[in-house]
Amino acid sequence: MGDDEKKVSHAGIPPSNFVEDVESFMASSENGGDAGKVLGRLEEQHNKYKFMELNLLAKRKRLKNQIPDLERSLDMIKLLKKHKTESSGEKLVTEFLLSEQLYSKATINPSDTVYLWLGANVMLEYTLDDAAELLSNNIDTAKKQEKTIEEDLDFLRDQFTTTEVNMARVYNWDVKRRQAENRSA
Amino acid sequence: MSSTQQKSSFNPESEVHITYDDQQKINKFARLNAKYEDFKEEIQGKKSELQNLEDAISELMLSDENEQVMYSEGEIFLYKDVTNAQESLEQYKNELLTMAADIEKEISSLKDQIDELKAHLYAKFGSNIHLEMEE
Repeated sequence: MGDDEKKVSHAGIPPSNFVEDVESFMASSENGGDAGKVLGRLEEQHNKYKFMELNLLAKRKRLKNQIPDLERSLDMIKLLKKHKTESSGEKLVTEFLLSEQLYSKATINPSDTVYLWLGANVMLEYTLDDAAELLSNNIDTAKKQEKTIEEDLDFLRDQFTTTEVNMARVYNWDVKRRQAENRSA
Repeated sequence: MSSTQQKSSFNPESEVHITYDDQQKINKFARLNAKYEDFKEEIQGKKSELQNLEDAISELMLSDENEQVMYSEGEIFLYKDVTNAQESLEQYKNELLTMAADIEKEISSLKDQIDELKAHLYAKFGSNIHLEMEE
C-alpha cells in the first residue's frame, strides 16, 4: 500500500490509496477476489470525486468572475482619486448604465468619498482611501481562496487519477484470471 | 470550461508492473496537463482582448485630435480627449502584453515538464499507456 501520510484528507476529500500489488489487494478479506464488486466500489468512488470536482470548478468559476469585478471597482476609485488631485474643480463627464439597454449622462464632481455596496441592501460611505483598502483586501482574500481551490483541485485530480489506474489494473487482473481459468478448464 | 478529461489511460493488456513512483508520475502528468489547458484558455482570452485594443488604437488614429471619445472604464463610459484616450489604451495594452508574456512563459515551462514526463512514461510503458492530448 502507499505511504500513510497520504491518508491525511485534504478539505474533506477522501484519499485514494495506491495499490502496490493487485494480486494481494484482490486476495484481501474485504475484496475476496471479486473483481466485479471491487470495480463497482472504485466506480462509485470515482463518481464521488467527479462530483466534488464539479463543485470546486463551479466555486473557482465564481471567484474568477468576482475578482475582475472587484478590480474594476478599485480602478474606478483610483480614477476618482486621480481626478480629485489632478483636476481643478472641473467635472468628470460620464455615461453610465441605467438599465441593460440604456445609458445616461452623469457629471461627477471631485469627491472624497464613494459608497460601497456591502450586500443585504446596505451601502456605506467610505473615503476613497478606505474604500481602496477595503477592496484591495477583498481582492487578496478572493485570490487566496482561489489558490486554495486550485490546491484542492490538484489533490482531487491525483485521487481520481489513482482511482482510474486502480480500475484499469483490477480489470486487467480479472481478464488475466479468466484467461488462466479458461486455459486450465 | 477547462477540460477535465483524463488524458492517460491504460491498456488492460499491459504486462508492466506499475510502482508507486510511476503512479505519482502519472498523477503529476494529469495535474500538469490540466494546468496547461487552463493557461491555454487564459492566453486565448488575453489575445482577443489585445486584438480589441489594437483595433481601438488604429481607430483612434483616424479620428480628429480635438474630438472627444467615450472610453469604456469599468461599467461606465468616460469622455476623454483623443490623445488622452490613446495614452490610456497604450498603457492598458502594455499591461496586457506583460501578462500575456508571463502566461506564455508558464505555458512553455509546463510543456517542457509534460514532455519530460511523457518521455519517461512512454519509455516504461510503451504503447500500453496513452498520454496524448485531445485536440
